Amino acid sequence: MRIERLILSNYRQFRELDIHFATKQDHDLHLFVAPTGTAKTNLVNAINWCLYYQEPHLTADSQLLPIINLKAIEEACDDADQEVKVEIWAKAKKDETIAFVRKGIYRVRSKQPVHQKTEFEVRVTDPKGNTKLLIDEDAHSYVERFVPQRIREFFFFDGERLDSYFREATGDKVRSAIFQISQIDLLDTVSEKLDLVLRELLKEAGKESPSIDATRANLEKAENSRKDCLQKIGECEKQIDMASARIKELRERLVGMPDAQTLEKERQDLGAERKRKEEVLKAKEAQKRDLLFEYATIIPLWLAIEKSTQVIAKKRAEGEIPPTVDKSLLEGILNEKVCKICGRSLDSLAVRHVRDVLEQVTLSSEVAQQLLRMEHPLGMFEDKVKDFEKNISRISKDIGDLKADMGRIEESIKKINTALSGHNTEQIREWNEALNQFEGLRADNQTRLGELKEAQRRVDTEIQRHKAELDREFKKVEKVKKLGKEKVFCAKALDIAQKTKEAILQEMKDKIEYETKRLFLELVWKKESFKDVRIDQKYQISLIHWMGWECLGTVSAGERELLALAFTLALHKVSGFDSPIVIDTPVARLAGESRENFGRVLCQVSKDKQCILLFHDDEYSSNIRKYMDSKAASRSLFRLSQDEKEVKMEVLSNA
Amino acid sequence: MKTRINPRILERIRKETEGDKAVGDFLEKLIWVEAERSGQWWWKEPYRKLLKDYAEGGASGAY
Repeated sequence: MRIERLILSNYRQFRELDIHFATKQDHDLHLFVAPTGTAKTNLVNAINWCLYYQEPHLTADSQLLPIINLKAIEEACDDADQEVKVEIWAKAKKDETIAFVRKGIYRVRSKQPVHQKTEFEVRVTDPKGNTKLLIDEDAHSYVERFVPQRIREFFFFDGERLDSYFREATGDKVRSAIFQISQIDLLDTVSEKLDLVLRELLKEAGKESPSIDATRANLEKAENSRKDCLQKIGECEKQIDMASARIKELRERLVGMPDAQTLEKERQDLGAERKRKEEVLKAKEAQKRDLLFEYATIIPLWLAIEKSTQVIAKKRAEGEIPPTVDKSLLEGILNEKVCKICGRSLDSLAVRHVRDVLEQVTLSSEVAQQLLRMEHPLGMFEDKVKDFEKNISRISKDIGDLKADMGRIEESIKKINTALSGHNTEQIREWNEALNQFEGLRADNQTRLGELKEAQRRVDTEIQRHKAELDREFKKVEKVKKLGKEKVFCAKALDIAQKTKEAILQEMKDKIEYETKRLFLELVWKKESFKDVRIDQKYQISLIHWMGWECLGTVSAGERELLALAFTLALHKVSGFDSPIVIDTPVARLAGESRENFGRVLCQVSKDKQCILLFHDDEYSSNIRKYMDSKAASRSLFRLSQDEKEVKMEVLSNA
Repeated sequence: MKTRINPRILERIRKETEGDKAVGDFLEKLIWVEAERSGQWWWKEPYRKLLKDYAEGGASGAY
């Protein structure tokens, strides 16, 4: 199915717009180029509004404006009805033309539009020209055949979001898309209804037999417990999935990043240690200065002190000190002229002799006394000088050690700085904190999940016991034998419906995985870099590097967008919904070679599928133009009118 | 309107029934009912009627 025509009437900035999507032999590629503010995104909104009565890509400005064109409001008479209408004409393969038409009726009062009603219809025209009009549910079921609402974002989307596609396309979303496209929801509905029928059968049988009713009540209670348990398991798994997705994303972001948190802590500790050592060093240097100052007077006299102590030592060795002659004895002898030792009187000769001795003794004794007095302080000076040497060398060694330590600290800090340079450490720290937080959350939920699964096992056993009991009761009571047959048949059908659902789901997942991988490896230019694309049991998508690691978070934006495109195209293929792909701003986030390659890939895709691309004028750069201009089936330009209330389209080329 | 049914669903149902044609037919019938008339509120009666008819045709297996 492809869009043949898109007609907008009074829809937002488009007063009247009629786009014909002509086909070209090789490519079904349609390009729209629009300067900023010309509401190209509203073309995607118009498609969504027409089909689903929703406008998912409205800008903040547009949200404040009425859906009906401002010029139409201005020109409307008071109390007149104005109509906003979007028509999508699609062509099915068997040449059926399907027109999806949505109209909104507004009454304009004092230039204010008041919504009256919205109508939706589908007109199906067969190749013979017979038209069938469908409304309500029948009309909506045609929309579901064109592009089901639940998977519309895989068909009509904003290219700027492709980069973050797999962050937003959670397992739930992918699972839901697979459910929808494989029609598993049909099996789900059948299962739910069969389950209700089964319960009703048991209730009916219970009316005939109290024991059946008692067992049925017990079974129902156990089944409710199981449901409750499964719901909690689901919530728990959701939390685990969410945490795992965040952990995966954060780990990918942190690949190759330094462990900023640890390094910063280490740097902080080293800084504190350096500061502490600086203070100790200052104290030691002051101590050394004080010591030098204290000895400043002693040191120049050191030679004299040393000499004096040597002299004293020598005199002491020669017995000159301490003095051995008693001076007062000699003075007494002279005064009395009698020898105090032998008692003999002294003659003049002896007196003179004693006087000479006394004179000599007096002099050497004073020197000796003086030397004796000097000996102690000189000894103290000598000890002090010896302490000085010891102290100064100890302090100098401490200072040397401190300086060496500080050098090592400085070196370590420098290494950390080098490791952290060029990285946003604040960001890394935040990522690490978030990683710890999500790891904690996951661990808590994993523990809880284990407990819940154990509880589920217990309830399952209980359910089986009640079911066996019911089987026995049904055989016993004659009145319920017919109901028993229906019960057995219904239960078997229910079991098969559920098994089929699981099998189809697995099959679809495998197919989408295979197709995504095939398409991605076909589209990507670095073909040798990637080994695999995987979709796990939780429907999380992984891209595997040829070396074996998961690399979705570290590949370039262009490669990520290509994977998103491959996944989308795989969904298209597996779903069998051969509907067009409409991308707003397809290459806005890409530059250089990536942009060129992406353009090339989209050209290639347009060989098998209608591609409608809406570019910003600066996005439609020469490297895109060189691929697309020649291949496009149509190229159009949007222009804003002078009064800025209307957007007009200029067709540049059309096949 | 006629809706397409994913043929894999129908094939898989047949495989899972392991030759029990009645159950296979019954489920296929229900799938078509849901595909063509989804969201109808009066589903219970047709379901019960279909169940009765197909179960009469011969059911097998335990609960």
